[in-house]
Amino acid sequence: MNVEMIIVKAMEQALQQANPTLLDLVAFYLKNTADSDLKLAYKDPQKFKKLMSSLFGDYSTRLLELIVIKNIKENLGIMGDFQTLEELIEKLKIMAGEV
Amino acid sequence: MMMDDKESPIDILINATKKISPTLIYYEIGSNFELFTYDLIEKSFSHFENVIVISFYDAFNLIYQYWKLNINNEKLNKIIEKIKVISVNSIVENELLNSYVVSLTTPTTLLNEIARLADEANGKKTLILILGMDIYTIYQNEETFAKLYSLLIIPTSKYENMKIISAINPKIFSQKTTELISSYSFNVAYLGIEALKKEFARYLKFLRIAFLEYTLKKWIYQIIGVNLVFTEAVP
Repeated sequence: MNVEMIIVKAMEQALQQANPTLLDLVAFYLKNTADSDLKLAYKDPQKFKKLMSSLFGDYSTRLLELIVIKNIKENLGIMGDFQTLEELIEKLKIMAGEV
Repeated sequence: MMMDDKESPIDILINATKKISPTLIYYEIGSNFELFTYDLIEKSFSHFENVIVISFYDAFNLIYQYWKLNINNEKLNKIIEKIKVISVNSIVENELLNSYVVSLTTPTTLLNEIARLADEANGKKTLILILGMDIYTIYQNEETFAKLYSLLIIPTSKYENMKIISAINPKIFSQKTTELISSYSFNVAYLGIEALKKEFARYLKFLRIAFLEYTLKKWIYQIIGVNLVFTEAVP
């Protein structure tokens, strides 16, 4: 299980669901502001969310985060109450034996 | 009632809501719903004596945090002082805002609170803005949301002095649920984002509105500072 890939794919799926136009916009924004890409959501979720907030606002960023959490929980059949991306990543890392 | 052509679409939406409600706003991620909401509330105080926000899962707080970072304190405080917030299933709003917190064990709790506010308003024109039902749906499920929405909207619409605007992100719902909630609304506005030539553009479109001449009318809007500047879209 590759946790980074799961997070990146889930983020792509959530952005695609929200509006396909956003994928290009987010990729462009991450490249220009942090010289990064969607992998930042896994590597540094706090920084990723901060950047998304400056792009979309806190409300939309929270909605995006909740959609990602919900999709991953449903796709992988994970039980538990995860409020943040960080909590979910920790759980996935444990499941994958990364910690 | 004809509207002035120079009026902003937000004024048109408020006037339509005054005429007949409920009003539904669909918004997409990236549409800068936060600033739209600010403008909507600020302009609403010219038309309504009270503005009550019903906020699910700290939705209003998320918007408020964005306002605090981007809007001048003095300007912001002028409207914050006047807004009443009913926080439903809140974690942080009770600490940050002068709000009334309701734990939504049953919709009756919320309806009782609305009935109390309707009494308190004593006939004064009141706008109820419902935020965060999309977040509520992610925490719960679509079926629970659909039941709650109808239980909330139908009885509240019966108060003559109260008008309702609710805002949700349609992309998290199935088409069936989107159609159901849309069917409760007399005015439906859509805030979206689209690729226009090589740039991204935010737009507002009235899918259905009390003033027929504005049905399907579309505006492109830009964010200049903290102001939304609307330009009529070329068909």
